[in-house]
Amino acid sequence: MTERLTALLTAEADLLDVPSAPTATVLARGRRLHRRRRGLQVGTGLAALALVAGVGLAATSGSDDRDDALDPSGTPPAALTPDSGTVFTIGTTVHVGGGAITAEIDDKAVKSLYYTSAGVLVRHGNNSFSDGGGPQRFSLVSPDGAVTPLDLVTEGVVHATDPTQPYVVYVDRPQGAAVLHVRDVTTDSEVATVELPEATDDYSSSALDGDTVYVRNGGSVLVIDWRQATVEVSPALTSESVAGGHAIEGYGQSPTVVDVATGRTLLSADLDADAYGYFRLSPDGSSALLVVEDDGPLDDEEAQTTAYDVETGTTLTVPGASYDYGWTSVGDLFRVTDEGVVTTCVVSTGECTDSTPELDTLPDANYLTRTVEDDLVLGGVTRES
Amino acid sequence: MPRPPSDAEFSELVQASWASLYRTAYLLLGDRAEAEDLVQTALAKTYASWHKVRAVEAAPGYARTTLVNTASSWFRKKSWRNERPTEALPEQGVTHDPSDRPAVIAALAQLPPRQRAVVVLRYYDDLSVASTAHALGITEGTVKSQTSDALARLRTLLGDAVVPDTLGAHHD
Repeated sequence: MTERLTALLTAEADLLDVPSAPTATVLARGRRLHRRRRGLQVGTGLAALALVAGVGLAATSGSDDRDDALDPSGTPPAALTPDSGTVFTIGTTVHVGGGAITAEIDDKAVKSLYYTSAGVLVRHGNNSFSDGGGPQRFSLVSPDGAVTPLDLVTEGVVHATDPTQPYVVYVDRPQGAAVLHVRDVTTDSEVATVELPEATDDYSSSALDGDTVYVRNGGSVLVIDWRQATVEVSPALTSESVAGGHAIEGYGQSPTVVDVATGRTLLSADLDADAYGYFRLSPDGSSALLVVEDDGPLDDEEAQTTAYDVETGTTLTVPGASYDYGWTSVGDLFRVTDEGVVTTCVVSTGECTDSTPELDTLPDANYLTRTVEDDLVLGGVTRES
Repeated sequence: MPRPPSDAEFSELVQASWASLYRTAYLLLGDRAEAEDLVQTALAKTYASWHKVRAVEAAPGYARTTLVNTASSWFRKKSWRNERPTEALPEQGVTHDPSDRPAVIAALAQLPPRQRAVVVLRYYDDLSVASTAHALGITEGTVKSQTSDALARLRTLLGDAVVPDTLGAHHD
């Protein structure tokens, strides 16, 4: 029998010099990985590719539904959505329009980039962490590269913008009560606050779509018309991830994208029973990536990612993991390689173009070795925990 | 997705499970640095996938499963076998003189990675054939055949006293 073998293995294991648990290091690695999975929406390579092949596109809605989905209170039509092209930062240098324009942020590190109708809103601070990283400071980079620091400092909260609006929104809870703040980045002034009732979730992720703010509150989603200061609990939404009238629903084995106004399913995926997937919407809601998590290697050179045009279901498969990719404000997919090559793809047509802008510092894609000087932050991708 | 655990919750998990995971990792890999990296990776993945854990009490088990899955992924990498010549003896992870007992670690090093994993999971972690198959992403039949091959090899290295030639399934 094998009792002797078991005893020997146990004895060997018991006699090992076990190093001290590097708790802080493990926690930091976990946070980094989680940020990528949450904000950068980590998907993994081979498994994701295989699962994408089994995706069924349940339905595609017509343009009439899209019109209905837009907020009726005056959201500018999609044609007016500003397109800054690819926007990314390497260290504290902001590259706009694929590197055509650069701007410098006067801070230690960049945390996230948000598209607004007034330009790119940069969240920065003492480090690239979005949570537990101390103060979150902000600067507005206008289309000509001018940098305007904002008189806004937050900590440990989640921010959201709509690329067609000049506002940034966030929820904080100064004395326990949750308050929604709406700030105009062009005037650097707060234009509205809305007290949220019975807030139970201290995380309070939010999204801004037109005049409507969606805030997660425990297991429900609050729908707030910030101009009217009305707050309702959505009868249908389970996710606050809304953009361009489209919402992400159904995390897990059956992720979907739905039309907020009609509830119609626009995209759906049927994943394996042990898979965990979700769609990641572009800032304007026109495109989506299907992210499928597994426990495979963290860095898989053979990874591929599939993007979808939400309206038509047209797919585009590109090399690399989903967390390699950012969005332009109009839903084009892009990435920046370690060699400084910027690849931009139009999801609806599948056309991809490469450019090689002059970069003083090349990015380091390896999250284990990158520093604040060569940390790459992509537009339209919010790092949150 | 649910939020990640608090720092205190996760630190407690790391402290409580580190030694046990490290021991399994070392037996799986035979290298101290790789074992530590494997445990760190598994725990980091556990943190990042907290939505799958569902309950704090289930976290140690989830971390152990993730550790084995991750090791299995490493084994599948083509470069892994190239970097792990089976004829090379591993470094010893113990501080005492090993000459007073059979060199089971050295013998494990003679096995291909998957056979080694099967042996460790079945005879150290006491997993069933089905659980071992699930953990490594292989069929139960493969587990049994790999077990048989591994034990035959270990028998030649460690002797009949350690691995007698009467083996059926250890347990199912």
